[in-house]
Amino acid sequence: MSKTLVAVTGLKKHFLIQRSLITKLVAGAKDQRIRAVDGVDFEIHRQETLGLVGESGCGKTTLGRTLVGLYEPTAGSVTFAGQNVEELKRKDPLAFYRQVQMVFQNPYASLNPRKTVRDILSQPLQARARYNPKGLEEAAIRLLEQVGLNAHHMDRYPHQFSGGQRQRISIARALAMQPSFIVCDEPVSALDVSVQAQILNLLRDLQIRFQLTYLFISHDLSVVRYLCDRVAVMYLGKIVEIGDTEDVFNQPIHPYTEALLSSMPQIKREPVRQRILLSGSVPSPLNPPSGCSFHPRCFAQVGKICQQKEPELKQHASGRLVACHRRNL
Amino acid sequence: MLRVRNLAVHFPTRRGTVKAVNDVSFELNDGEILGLVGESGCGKSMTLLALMGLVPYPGETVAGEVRFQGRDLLKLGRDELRQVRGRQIAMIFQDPLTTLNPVFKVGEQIAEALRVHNILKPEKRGLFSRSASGTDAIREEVIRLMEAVGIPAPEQRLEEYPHQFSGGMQQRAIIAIALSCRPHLLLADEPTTALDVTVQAQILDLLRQINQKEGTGIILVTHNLAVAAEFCQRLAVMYAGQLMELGPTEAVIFDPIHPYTKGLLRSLPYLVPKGSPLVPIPGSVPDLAQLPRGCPYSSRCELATAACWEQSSPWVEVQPGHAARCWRST
Ligand SMILES: Nc1ncnc2c1ncn2[C@@H]1O[C@H](COP(=O)(O)OP(=O)(O)OP(=O)(O)O)[C@@H](O)[C@H]1O
Ligand SMILES: Nc1ncnc2c1ncn2[C@@H]1O[C@H](COP(=O)(O)OP(=O)(O)OP(=O)(O)O)[C@@H](O)[C@H]1O
Ligand code: SF4
Ligand SMILES: [Mg+2]
Ligand SMILES: [Mg+2]
Repeated sequence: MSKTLVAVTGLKKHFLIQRSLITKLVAGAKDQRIRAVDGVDFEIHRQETLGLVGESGCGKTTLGRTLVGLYEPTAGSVTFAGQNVEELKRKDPLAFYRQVQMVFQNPYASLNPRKTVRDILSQPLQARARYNPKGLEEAAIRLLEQVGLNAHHMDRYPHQFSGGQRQRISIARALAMQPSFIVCDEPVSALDVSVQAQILNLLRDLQIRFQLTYLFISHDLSVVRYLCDRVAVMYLGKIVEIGDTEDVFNQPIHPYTEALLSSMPQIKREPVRQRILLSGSVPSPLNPPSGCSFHPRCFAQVGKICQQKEPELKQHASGRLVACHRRNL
Repeated sequence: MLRVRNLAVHFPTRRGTVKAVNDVSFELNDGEILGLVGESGCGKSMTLLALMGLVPYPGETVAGEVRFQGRDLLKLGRDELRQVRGRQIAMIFQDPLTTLNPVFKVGEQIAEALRVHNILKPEKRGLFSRSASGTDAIREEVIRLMEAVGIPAPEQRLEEYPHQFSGGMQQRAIIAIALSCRPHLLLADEPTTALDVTVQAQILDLLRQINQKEGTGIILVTHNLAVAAEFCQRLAVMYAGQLMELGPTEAVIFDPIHPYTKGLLRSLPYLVPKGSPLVPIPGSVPDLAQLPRGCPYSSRCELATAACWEQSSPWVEVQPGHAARCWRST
C-alpha cells in the first residue's frame, strides 16, 4: 500500500458569477471568475494529520470540499487511494462517500434542527449497511459512546445540546460511514477553549483507534502546531509552502509563512519574536496579482521576476516545498 | 483612572434572574492596558456595557459604583452620561459589521462622529483655524484619523462604503470613530476576533501605539488568552459573571492562583508538549439563572471542598496586586 492516500494534481476550483444579459448589454458587465483554488499540487499521507492554514478567503474550505467530492474540480484531479475521484463518483458514489467525510465549522448550522440524534445517525448508518431496528439502535449508541455521549442523548434535538456536544454529534455522524479520510473544517473554532480541548483530544483518539487521515483546516495556529504532523500554507488559492509542522514553525521559508507565523500570539516567557506586519490587504481572487500573487505585500522581493513569473512549488532542504523566487537559504 | 466596585447586572427571565455580572470590582490605572478574559457568556461584554450605561433591555445594572474622574458614572443623568461617552470614554463593540452603517460612506460616518462630539471648534485646534468652513476642517480631520489608523489613500477611501472595505479596514474605520473623541479610556470588546491573525497583529499594534502616544487607557475584552497575555499589563479572569482572578499578566499566566485559570491554561495547546493530551476542564458552565450557592466553579473544580459548595468564596490577595476568589487561597 502506498503511503499516499490523497493525491492532488493541478487542482483548480473556480466559481463563475454570471451577470444577467441585460446588465451585460447595458452596463457592459462581464461574467466574473473567482479563482478560489487556483492550481495546487500536494499529497496527504495515510494516517497523518495535514494542517491547512491561511487568511480568510484564501480557499481552504473550497479545497476541502473539492477533496471530498462536494465540488467538481474546474481543472486538475484528485486521486483517492490511487483512483480518480471523479471516476469513483461516477462508478460507485456510495463507496466513495463512505470513505471520505467532512466535519464543518459551525455545529449549529450543520445539523438539521428538526431531526433527533437518532435520525441524524441512523441515516448514514443505513446508507452503509442493512440493519434490523435493534442492530441500528446499537450501532447508533456505539457511535455516541465513541464520541463521549451516550444512549440518553438519542432522542434529543440538536438545540438541546451545547456547542461542544453538537460538534461531537457531527463527528459521530462522520464516523458512521467508517471513513478513512475526514476533512475537518475549523472543527473547534466556534467552541470555548475548555471545550475545544475535549474535541481535539477526541479527534486524536479516534484517529489512532480507526487509523484516520485528516485534513485539518484552522486559522488557530497554536492548534495546528499542536495537532498536525505536516502543514500546508495557502495564499490566494495556491499552496505556497508545505512541510513538517515543527520545521515550518521553527523556520518558515516563504515570506508569507514568515509573516503569518510571526503574527501568531504566544503564551511564553521569552520575548515575542519580531512581528512582521504585512502592509496592504489580501488581494481579490477575482483578479489575482501577476507573477507571485504575494508580491504586492511581500517584504522580500528579489526583483522584477516576482512581478512577472509565477514561482513554482519547489523542493527545498529537508523535503520542504516552497513557492518563492527568493533563494537565499 | 477608573474604579469599579461591586458591579452587578441582572436579567430577569422566566427561569429566574440571570446574574450576568456578579459583584465585579477592579481598577484601571492611568494609561494602563487591562485584559478581561473568560469564556463565552461569562459576562465580559455586559461588564463593559454596564460601565458605559448601555446594558440592553431587559438587563439592568442593579448595584455598583463606577468612579471615573471623580464621578460615579452610574449616578449620572442620561445627558451627562452621553457627554462622558462622547468625550472621554469610547467603546469598540463586539460585532464590527453591525457598528458601521452599510448605507453611508465610511468618511461620512467618521465625520458624523466628529460632529456629534462637537470636537472641531476651530479655535481649539490651531491646525484648522485657517480653514474657513467647518466642513473642510472636518474633512481634514477625517483624513487625519483614517491615516492614523492606517487606512491607505484616505482621500479616496472616505468616499467608499463599508462593504468596499475588508474586515480589517472596517475595524480600522471603527477604531477611527472611537478615537474621534480623543478618549481617555477605550473599551475594546473583542476588537480582533473576527480578523485574520496577520490583521489582528496590525490592529493590536495600532491600539498599542494609541496607548503609548496618547496615554489612552484600554480595557481589552477577549476570549483569546494568548492575545491578552501579549497585549495587556494586567489580566482579569472572569467566570460565570464573577471575577475569579486579577493580577499582573506574567503572574496570572505563569503563576495562576485560581483553579479555573489553571484549568483554562492547561486546556490550551500552548503549554502542552506535542503528542500529550490536552487537559480539558470537565463539565460545563453553570446556568447563570441557577448559580450554585457557593463558588460558581465548584461543580467543575477538582479542589472543591464543602466550603466551596456552600458559601460564596472570598476575594484573597495572595501576592501584592495578585488576588483570586477562592477558598483554597485563604
Ligand atoms: N460557492 C461559492 N460561490 C462563489 N464564490 C465562492 C463560493 N465559495 C467560496 N467562494 C469564494 O472563494 C474564495 C475562497 O473561499 P473559501 O470559503 O474557500 O475560503 P476560506 O479559506 O475557507 O476562508 P475562511 O477562512 O474565511 O473560511 C472566497 O473569495 C469566496 O468568496
Ligand atoms: N437578554 C438576555 N436575557 C437573559 N440573559 C442574557 C441576555 N443577554 C445576555 N444574557 C446573558 O448574560 C451573560 C453575559 O453575556 P455577555 O454578552 O456579557 O457574555 P460575554 O462574556 O461577552 O460572551 P462572548 O464571549 O460570547 O461575547 C450570558 O450568559 C448571556 O446568556
Ligand atoms: S516570490 Fe518574490 S514576491 Fe513572492 S514571496 Fe517570494 S520573494 Fe516575495
Ligand atoms: Mg472556510
Ligand atoms: Mg461578548
